[in-house]
Amino acid sequence: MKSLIQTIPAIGLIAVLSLTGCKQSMVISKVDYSQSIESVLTPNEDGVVRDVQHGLTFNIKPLQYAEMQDTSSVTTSQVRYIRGKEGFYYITAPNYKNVYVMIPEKGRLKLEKKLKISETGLEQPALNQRTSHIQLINQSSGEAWKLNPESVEKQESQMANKQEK
Amino acid sequence: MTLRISFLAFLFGLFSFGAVAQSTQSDYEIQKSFKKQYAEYQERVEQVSSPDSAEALIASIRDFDQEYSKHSELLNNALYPDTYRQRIEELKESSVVAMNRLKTIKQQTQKLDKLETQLSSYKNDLQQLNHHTDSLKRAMEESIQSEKKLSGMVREYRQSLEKRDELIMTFIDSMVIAYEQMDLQSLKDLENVDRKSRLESNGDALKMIHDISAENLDILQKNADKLRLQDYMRMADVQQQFETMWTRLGSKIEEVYNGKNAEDMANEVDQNISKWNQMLKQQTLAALKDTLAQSDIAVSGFSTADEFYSSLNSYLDNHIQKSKKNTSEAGYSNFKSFQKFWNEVEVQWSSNFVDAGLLTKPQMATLNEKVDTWAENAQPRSNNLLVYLLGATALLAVALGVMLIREKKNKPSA
Repeated sequence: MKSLIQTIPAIGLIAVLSLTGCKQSMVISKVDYSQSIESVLTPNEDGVVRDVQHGLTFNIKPLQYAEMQDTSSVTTSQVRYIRGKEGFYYITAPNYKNVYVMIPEKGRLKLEKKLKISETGLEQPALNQRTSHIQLINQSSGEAWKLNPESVEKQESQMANKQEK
Repeated sequence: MTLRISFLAFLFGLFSFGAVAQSTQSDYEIQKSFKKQYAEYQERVEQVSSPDSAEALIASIRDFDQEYSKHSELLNNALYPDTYRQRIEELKESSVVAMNRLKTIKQQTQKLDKLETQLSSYKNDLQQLNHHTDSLKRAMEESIQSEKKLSGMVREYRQSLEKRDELIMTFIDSMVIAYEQMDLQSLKDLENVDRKSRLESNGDALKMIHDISAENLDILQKNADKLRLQDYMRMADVQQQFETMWTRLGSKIEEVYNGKNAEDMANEVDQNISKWNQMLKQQTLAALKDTLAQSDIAVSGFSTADEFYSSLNSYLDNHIQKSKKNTSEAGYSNFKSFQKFWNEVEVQWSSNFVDAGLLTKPQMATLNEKVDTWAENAQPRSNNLLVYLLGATALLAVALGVMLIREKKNKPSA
């Protein structure tokens, strides 16, 4: 009886260890998701954009609603997005006041952070991949911002230039 | 002072904006602009139409490279799996190829222009000769009753045709020299690139070749009674050269032709050459029959080249056999006539006979051998045996006489 009492915990311990081993998933670290050049897409009448090259399709109406609180019709003629090193999607459009940092999840994109850029919106935004960050520029004014998943920082022109190099 | 400060401030502002604008470019726009300009350059390379504009284009591509080479890393990503350098080198290479092609085309255009001038000159000469022969022909028809006058005119007419053939031969030489140096593909390009100016040019080789082939056919059809074997032999030479030229250069000449019906015209030239060849063969055989008859060479009748060979062959066999059995002055005279005819054939026209398909080289060799055999047996043999007997008798008589005289001298006097 005594030996039975000693044996049962031992078997249990072995079983727990074995199960733990089976559940352990493989992890590949140091993955670089960076997309070298932004995608510029035109939404259809339902607001769906399709990036054939990168295999991504989504509806921009939630973003439009976040910007304008209106989804009665698709008012955005162009959507620009780029994927950063960590895998976040930075999405914006002409005249948007924000850049939306989205994280991909199973069958959806989840808002990670809304980066406020301007009160009036950028007339001609563009996203560039840089070594340490994503660069947002307004092509009409020449202004530049340094974007990270958590923060946005306006760049001085010369600084932006140096950082490019 | 305030004005100066304001101006400087304005300049500074302008400079700063320029610097800002320059430093903040969209990668997307850079690659889009590169791809757009690249496609435009490719189109320009395909459409460039002169060596000068090709050279300007090459310089422009060099500037294009300088402008975008600083973005090569970005463009490598945008152009993957190609690289920026690969694409630029391809563009540069194709622009150089285009320039070389246009240079060749320019050279060929110059050659063609020269040829056009030559053609016009030949055309004029040929027209004049045709006019001359036509008036001669009319005059011959009018003077049919005066035999002496007529025969002089026929001679002049034949000389005129001879000159025409000489002119055609010179024309053929010019064609061969000019067109052989040209590349068919470049001529096709030339048509595409410079169609307008080609259409404005004067004279045309294909038209002239077409007309010559048609006129030659006409001359053969209408003048069978005035032409002799040597005329046909010369004409066969012209026909051979003309056909060779057409076979070798016809496609190039057709390519350069300005008119719309080039293919039809080329087909007609093919047909004319074929008819010309056939008719020439028939009329040459007829002229041969006449020549043999005039020389009292009684061969059996023939109407094809094979029959002609058989006739000569059996004629020679027959006479060789006869001369082996019995030689005669008449047989020797036959041989002399045939030898005269055959020497002319062998020395002057053997290549014409072979080229025109009248006799093959082995057939010529066989006939040659037979003529030699006949020569060995044709000469009448003299009665040599009698001469030898008479000679021997005379010698014997002399010998006997000498012996008698010696005997008389040796006999002691009684």
